Amino acid sequence: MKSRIKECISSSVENYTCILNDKNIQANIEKVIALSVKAFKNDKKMLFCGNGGSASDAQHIAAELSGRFYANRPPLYAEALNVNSSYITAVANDLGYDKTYSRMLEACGRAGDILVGISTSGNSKNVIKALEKANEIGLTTIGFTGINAGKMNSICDIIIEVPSDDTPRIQEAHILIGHIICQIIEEEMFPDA
Amino acid sequence: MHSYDTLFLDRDGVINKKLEGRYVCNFSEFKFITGALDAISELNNIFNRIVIVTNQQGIAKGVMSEADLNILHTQMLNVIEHSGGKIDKIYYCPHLEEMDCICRKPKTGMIKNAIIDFPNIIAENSFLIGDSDTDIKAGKRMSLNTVKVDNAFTLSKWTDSLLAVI
Repeated sequence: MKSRIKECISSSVENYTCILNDKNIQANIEKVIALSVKAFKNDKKMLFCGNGGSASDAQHIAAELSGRFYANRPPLYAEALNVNSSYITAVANDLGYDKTYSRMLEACGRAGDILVGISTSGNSKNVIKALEKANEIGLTTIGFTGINAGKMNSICDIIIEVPSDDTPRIQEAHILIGHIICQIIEEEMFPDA
Repeated sequence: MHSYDTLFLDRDGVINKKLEGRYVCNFSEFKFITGALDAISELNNIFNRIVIVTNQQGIAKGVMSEADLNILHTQMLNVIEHSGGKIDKIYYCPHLEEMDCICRKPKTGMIKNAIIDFPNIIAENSFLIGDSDTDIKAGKRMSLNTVKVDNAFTLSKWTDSLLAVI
């Protein structure tokens, strides 16, 4: 039992070490931050979506921005597309689950906003459709995924590709990267806070 | 209102001749492709607007400055206007391919900037015309209709085929 626990921890540490040494992913994180800061300064917003654990990542990261990260400062307009269960169940039931995020995105996404789609496989249909709709409307599209970026690769403006194919490790890295992005956006937006 | 909404034109290889192994850096090197000028003014009659989306990494390479490019574009626009055509806006990406920016085609940043500037763009009634696969990929990502032109099937030929079906 103890050795299995240690195995999990060490595979997580290994994953983080890969990210620590991955210049490409860090360059892309930097680009996401710069684009987000620019969007917020232009009165645009950040939207997030994902399924399951990635849905909680989506609302977690959105909340760090609209609520607070470290600083007492004004809110930033960020929201997850999955947070209204009445909407999700209605659209899934009536129009199909694939449409859940693209339809909400069509309702609230505007040119110049940012959509972050989170999918460990890079293939979640409702996330892909939301990213496609976002491109069409003129949002900047960002994908958080794992080592085989799947369909996301050809759709997103920027791909954050965690160098792992193990879902829990990918998700842990996504929330780490989400935290990094929120922290630096906050510092850049509110240097005096 | 016209029959079609927005026409996105690549520049080199669509409007003007590409140069072998180097960049078009000034207007003396800029040669309109046969029929392109007439095509643009005809397309103005059936499209609500025409914009240019062009990769110009010669800027990042230092072979021309943004000022050089702007002068070239002003001269190009003068000739287009003189022949009765109008370009609503020019978008260019000055970055190197390896900088992996979000504007260099096949990325879609220039098209998205056009959507911010012209919020009424309707993708399904819009076309992107280019001479390379990267142009076509960018257009498809944005759900635009795409047309690939070459030395034989030019902008002018495509315009004729489009006018024939209206």
